[in-house]
Amino acid sequence: MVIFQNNIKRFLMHKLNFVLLMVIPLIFIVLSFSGSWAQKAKVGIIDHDHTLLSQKLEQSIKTQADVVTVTDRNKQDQLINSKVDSVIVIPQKFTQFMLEGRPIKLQSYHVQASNVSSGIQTFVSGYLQDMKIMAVSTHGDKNMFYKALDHYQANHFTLHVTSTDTSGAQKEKTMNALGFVIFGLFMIVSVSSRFIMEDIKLKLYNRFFTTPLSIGSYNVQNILSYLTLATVTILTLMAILVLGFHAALGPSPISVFLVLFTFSIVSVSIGILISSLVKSTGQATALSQLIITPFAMLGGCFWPISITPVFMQKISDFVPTTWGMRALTKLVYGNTLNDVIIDLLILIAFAAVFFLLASWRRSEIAS
Amino acid sequence: MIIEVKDLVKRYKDFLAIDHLSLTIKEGEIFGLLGPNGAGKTTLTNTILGLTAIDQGTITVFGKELRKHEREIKEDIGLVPQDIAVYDELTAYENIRLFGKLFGLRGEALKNGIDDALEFTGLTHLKNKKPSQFSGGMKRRLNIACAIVHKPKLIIMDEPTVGIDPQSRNYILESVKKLNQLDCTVIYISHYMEEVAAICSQIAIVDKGRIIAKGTKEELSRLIVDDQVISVDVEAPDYTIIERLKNLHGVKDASIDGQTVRIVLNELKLNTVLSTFLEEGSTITKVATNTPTLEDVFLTLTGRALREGSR
Repeated sequence: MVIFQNNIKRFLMHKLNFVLLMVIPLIFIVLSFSGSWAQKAKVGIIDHDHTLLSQKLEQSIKTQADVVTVTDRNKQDQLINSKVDSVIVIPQKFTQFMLEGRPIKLQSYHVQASNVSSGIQTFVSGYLQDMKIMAVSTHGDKNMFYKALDHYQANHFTLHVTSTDTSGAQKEKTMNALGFVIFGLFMIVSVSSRFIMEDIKLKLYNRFFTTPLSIGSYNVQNILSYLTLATVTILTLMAILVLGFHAALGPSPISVFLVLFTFSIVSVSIGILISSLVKSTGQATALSQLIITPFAMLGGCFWPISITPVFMQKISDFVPTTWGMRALTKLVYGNTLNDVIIDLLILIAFAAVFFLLASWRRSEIAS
Repeated sequence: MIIEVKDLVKRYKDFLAIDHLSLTIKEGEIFGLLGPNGAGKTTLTNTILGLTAIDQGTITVFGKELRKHEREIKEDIGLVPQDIAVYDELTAYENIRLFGKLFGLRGEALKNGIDDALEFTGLTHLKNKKPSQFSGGMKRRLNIACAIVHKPKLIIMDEPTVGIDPQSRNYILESVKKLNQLDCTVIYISHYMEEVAAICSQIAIVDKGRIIAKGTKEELSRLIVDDQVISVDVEAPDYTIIERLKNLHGVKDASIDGQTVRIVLNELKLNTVLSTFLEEGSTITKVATNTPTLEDVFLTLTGRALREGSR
């Protein structure tokens, strides 16, 4: 493991490497958690029914978000000017349809899909679903229905005030922070390609293979050294996230680690592919930067993919950062490892393709 | 035989780098590989080290076929590459230790190997310095130290004296002799004729991927022993005179080096040569006759100089 040890030593000798991998993501993590922009959602409600039931629905939403009164006329302006994150319209005959067990669909408007607006939507649909069940169970008996609803709401209030409300914003912040962790791990592309190119530039690459070292062992040791650096980075940043910022990493932080680790394999594979394509350290650095930042942008490391134009969203399916961020979003929002298996497999497929391309490009040591 | 190369062929697309080359090197020799840039010397060593795939032929080192025993063979070979291949960010000691470990040395054997390599190259007092603080000659010595840390049976030195001062050059040449005295076979690759002549017991002249002559310095000189080498200094020599001289019966070769026209002849009289100069209107400033050197052998055999100018 001589090459492995040597790479770790070389990494630690240069402060810039440490800054790229650890310090930059850390700065953005601090910013993610210190900002006030991730507060409770602001929801505008237009009530066309004006019944006890519609008022109770409004009260329930108030437990999840800041409710603002809007009208049909100004709802568009309110949304465009970011006065509200979304607008929910309660239609006429809402209560009547509900008691009769007929289908009801609330209209909602939002400028962009975000975790905030989708969280409210999820809450409202769950609430309506529960009301429907109560309506069916009470067979249209109004008194019994409202009695049941009061009872439900009393419990419902307690449940949501202590869970969803505080964790929603925290999850939002966590996702922003994880975006920068992914960005930091993507910097391994630059480190790995630069290290190999330096070996080639210094003619050490050829010289190494005049010793009993095989090219396979050299590659494996290189990959292992970068993955070790990635693991230390992931564990450090995750520890800071959890212990320092009480980040909400979902039910299984180990799964978050697995996704981040799988993503670092992709980063290493891209770095090795770059080193097989370019002819100098300068070219390696330039190509790395050309890949890292656009991929991070397209993949949603800096902002939600949903705010980007549709064609960019389609392109983003072809970059690994997207799949890393998707998997992390699922995990942070309560899913388990089973739900992100496809995303992980896609990341592994990316890595396999890049490794294969790299090995195809470099077939002979001295050419 | 420490190395046996049979019918070796190496192509880079349409370029034939090694052309059906066969070569044997005996144990204990300092074997000189002489040839101009692009002759195929480095490609030949790359194939012996398994760095380059071959298209045809067989290579046997230490009696074992390279293709089957590559790892085993490499444990006993040390390469001093043409370029200084060390890490600038590591100290001399750390660089040597890195190669010692790559050759499988550990513990006391590694420590002793490093200390011996530092002592042999005279770098012990500089072991904690980084190569960036070294002169060109010191870097070359560190390059050698990295190749001998594991005490190899065979050392391949590829142009180890390029770009260094005469003192360091002499130090390196003396080191080669000392290594040889320590039962180490050395392949010394150079286009510096005088270095090869001074230290090598066997010399092979390589050109266009082939060995065009092989033997001791004396044996090679005998190839043109009947020849006479005349150096004529003239004012403003040009290629017209070279063409005329080459067309004379008995002239084997003619070339220009600065103000000097060098002629290798075997049957011709000196006055015929001089008459040709006078007929061309050249002003002769000096005439000298020389004993054939390895340079003359090379020129005669290949028709071209080993390198531009001289040191």
